[in-house]
Amino acid sequence: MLLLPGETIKHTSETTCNKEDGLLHFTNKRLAWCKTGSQTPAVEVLHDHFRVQKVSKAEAKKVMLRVTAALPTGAPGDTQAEVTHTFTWRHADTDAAVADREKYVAELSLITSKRSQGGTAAPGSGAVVAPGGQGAPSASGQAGEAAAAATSGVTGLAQGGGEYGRVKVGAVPASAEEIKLRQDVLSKNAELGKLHKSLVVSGLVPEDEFWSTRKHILETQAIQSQLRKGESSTWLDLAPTTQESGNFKYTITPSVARRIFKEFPQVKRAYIENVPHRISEKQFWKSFVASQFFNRGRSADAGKGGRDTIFDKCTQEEDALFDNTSRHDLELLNNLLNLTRTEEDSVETGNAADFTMRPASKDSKLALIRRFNRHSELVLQSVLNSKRKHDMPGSSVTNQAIKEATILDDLDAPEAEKRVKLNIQDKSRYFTSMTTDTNDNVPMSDARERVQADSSSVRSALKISFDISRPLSSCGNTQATMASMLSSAHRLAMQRRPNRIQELHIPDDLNHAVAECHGAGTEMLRHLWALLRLPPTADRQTKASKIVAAFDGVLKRINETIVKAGAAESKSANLASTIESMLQPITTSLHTGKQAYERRSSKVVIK
Amino acid sequence: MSEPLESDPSLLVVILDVNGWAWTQSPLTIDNALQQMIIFINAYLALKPENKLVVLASNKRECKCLYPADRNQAPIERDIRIYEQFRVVDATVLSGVQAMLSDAAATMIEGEEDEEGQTLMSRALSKALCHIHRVEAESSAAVKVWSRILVISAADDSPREYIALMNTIFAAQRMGVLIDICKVSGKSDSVFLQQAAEITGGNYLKVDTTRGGGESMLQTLMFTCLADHYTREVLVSPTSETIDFRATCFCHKRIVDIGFVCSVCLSIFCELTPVCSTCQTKFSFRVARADSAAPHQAVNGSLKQSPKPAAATAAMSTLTLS
Repeated sequence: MLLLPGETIKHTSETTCNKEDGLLHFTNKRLAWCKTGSQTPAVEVLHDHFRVQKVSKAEAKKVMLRVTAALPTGAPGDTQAEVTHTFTWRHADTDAAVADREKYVAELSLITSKRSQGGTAAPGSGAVVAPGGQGAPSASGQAGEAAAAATSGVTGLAQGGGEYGRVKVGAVPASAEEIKLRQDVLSKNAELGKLHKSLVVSGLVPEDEFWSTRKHILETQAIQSQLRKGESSTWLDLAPTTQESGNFKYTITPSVARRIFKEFPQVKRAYIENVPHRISEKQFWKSFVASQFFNRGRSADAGKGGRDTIFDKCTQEEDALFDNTSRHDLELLNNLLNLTRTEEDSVETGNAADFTMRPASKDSKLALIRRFNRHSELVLQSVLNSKRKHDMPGSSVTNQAIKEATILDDLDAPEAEKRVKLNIQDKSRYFTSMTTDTNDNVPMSDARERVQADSSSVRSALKISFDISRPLSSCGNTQATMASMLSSAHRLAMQRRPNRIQELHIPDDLNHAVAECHGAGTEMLRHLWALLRLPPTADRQTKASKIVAAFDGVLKRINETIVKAGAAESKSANLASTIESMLQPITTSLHTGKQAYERRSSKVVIK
Repeated sequence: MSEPLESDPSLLVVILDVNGWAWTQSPLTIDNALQQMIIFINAYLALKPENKLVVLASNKRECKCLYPADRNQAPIERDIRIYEQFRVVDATVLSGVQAMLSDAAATMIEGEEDEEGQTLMSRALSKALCHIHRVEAESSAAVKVWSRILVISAADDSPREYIALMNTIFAAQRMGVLIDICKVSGKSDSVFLQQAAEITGGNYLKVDTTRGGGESMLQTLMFTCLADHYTREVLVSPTSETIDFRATCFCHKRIVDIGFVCSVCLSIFCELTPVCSTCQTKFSFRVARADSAAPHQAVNGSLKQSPKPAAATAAMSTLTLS
């Protein structure tokens, strides 16, 4: 193959690309593939253009490597112009082919990690080590991200979305990490994703504007991604899976092993002593699973496992530990215990040692009980962050306890609280807003004069003189009254009937369009009002003018929707006017916003 | 609460507003109104023999229970033309109202304060609720008595009784008592009474006095207020339109959607002022952060207390009301 100046070949393999045999070369500048007999590469991927690599599964018959690269003509951020090449190794020996492919995979991962972090990372360091699990190749696809995670200091399990600890939200133009963060937020928040799709993807609102008012969401997500999940505190139950041959298979991953060590410290000690110089790890776990120690807690019959030197020692250790009654921690004594308890305090047991709190007499249950206790202790410790252990030393704690027990708050002299008097001048102001009667006082003064002047007519107005055997000579116009009452009752009934919206029979796409118009308009208005409420500066002014210009786009959309409604067929007549009234609120808000902006800009100009 | 049965008896408390001044202003005379009311009461009593009735009369000075009357009343003359049950009730109510009006008329000429045209409705409602409570306590457990209140009101609200009135309304709501309002005087809607009807589930009726001088009151009452709890669940009553609950600013009494709220006394203003006019607290202003603030922030301020009582500082918060 013809080499570029300064290029050296690192690996070469016989591969097939597009059903043609050839040679694949990996150099320090590019990945190139030449057909057999040709000197110029038919396929060439420069290191800078390389994007993604994928490998076939470990057990697949064909050993393949697929490389996706950006076209040399395309812009770096342009995801559309990409090209994919697939290379197949046609060796008879799959293992050798895999090994060969691994070289390329490693090199390509190096490129990715160099590019994303600027630091070196071993290609397989971020992968999860699972004995009997996947090999490195399938993890290489994630190597880029995992390598990124590895260099930021995460060991062991890598979290799903990657870390955003160092993203500076709000940088323009947005960095690659911020773009990833945005995608994360959109995928986690369905509503926001829909809004984003309808507004930004359709071009109504530019992306940066969309995110400029939602910085707090991005920041929250960045912080949340850094939170580490602690160890699971569920009850560890090693359940075997039964295979066809009737053997039981126990899966012990490092995390499981860690939890076993936490639950049974004796097992940890045994592991440290015996592995790896006396027996191998596999052997250790095999014997653990088979041992009486393990099975005694799990099934009722204790004699299941065979004798085993290591784990019998564990059993004995445990028993020794718990039988030792002098294990009280002197520092944890509570000084407030009353040592002069008399017989009256505990009638049933008297003053003797309490024998009701003996551990179980049945040995089979004893181990399980101990394990429960230990597990609960662990859970509580992790919750309390072992605060108590650190606070224990020192007399301050005991002093605190004594103080709490002896000083009663009720007996203290009451402290005067610092208060400021609330003086409301005119309490009726809260209520006068409701009574809209502003001309209240006028008739009063008139009336008083009238009353004084004409007491006789007043008395006649208030005279009651009817015969209770014959009240009410006429009933007025009953028809008219009835008609008015019925009409108002009818109106109320029509207002309150259910399913009024569905009766309108608005087709779904129109509904969708209306919702989009509302969403777009609201979004633009959000930005506008946020800018207008702040003191005006030059660039805020330009931003505001841009937004107002964008209003026209939204208004045009609204008109289109109304026209579409008019043209659409539907069961209910007059759909266009219905849609127009549905869109009325957003049109008025847009107009109000525009007016406010114009008022403001005219004020600014005059200044 | 259990569901009302058709056979359950009702207790109706009629609160009659006998404010003389207000009745002189209304186009419907009290004579006419009283006639219609008496017919309505008779109709109510005729529905079921177990129905109970209480009539209260209230004006500015006092609230008296007209029926059931006190023992030491003059015995009512017999009249064979009238059904006995009705006669007792009607005559008692009539004489009670006449007595109250003449008492009030005597003192009215002397010319009193501005609030002549207002009746203390909260006092009447409290009395009514106490009576209802007593009756419900005394009634047997087997049969539940369903109570409601009918208010025939001619006068306006007085703002100073707002708190007491709202308390009685909420108490009625808790007790399950419906409050129907029949507003006779055509001048203005009483906002408090509208709320009473809305909150308790009763009807708010305005008497149409434009045509014929108001004899339609009886028809309206019979149409809407005669129904007991059981029947009302199937009826749609022609009440007036919904109430405007929107907030108004304290300075101009204008309706506001977005305004400013003092964090000390919670009074609403439409524009920035340095001092709250209700509680005289001085505001400290903090400009909102422009960078990461979401536009829909709710409360932005807080109350800070300084050791000196004289200079308490507070902050103005921006509140979106919608």
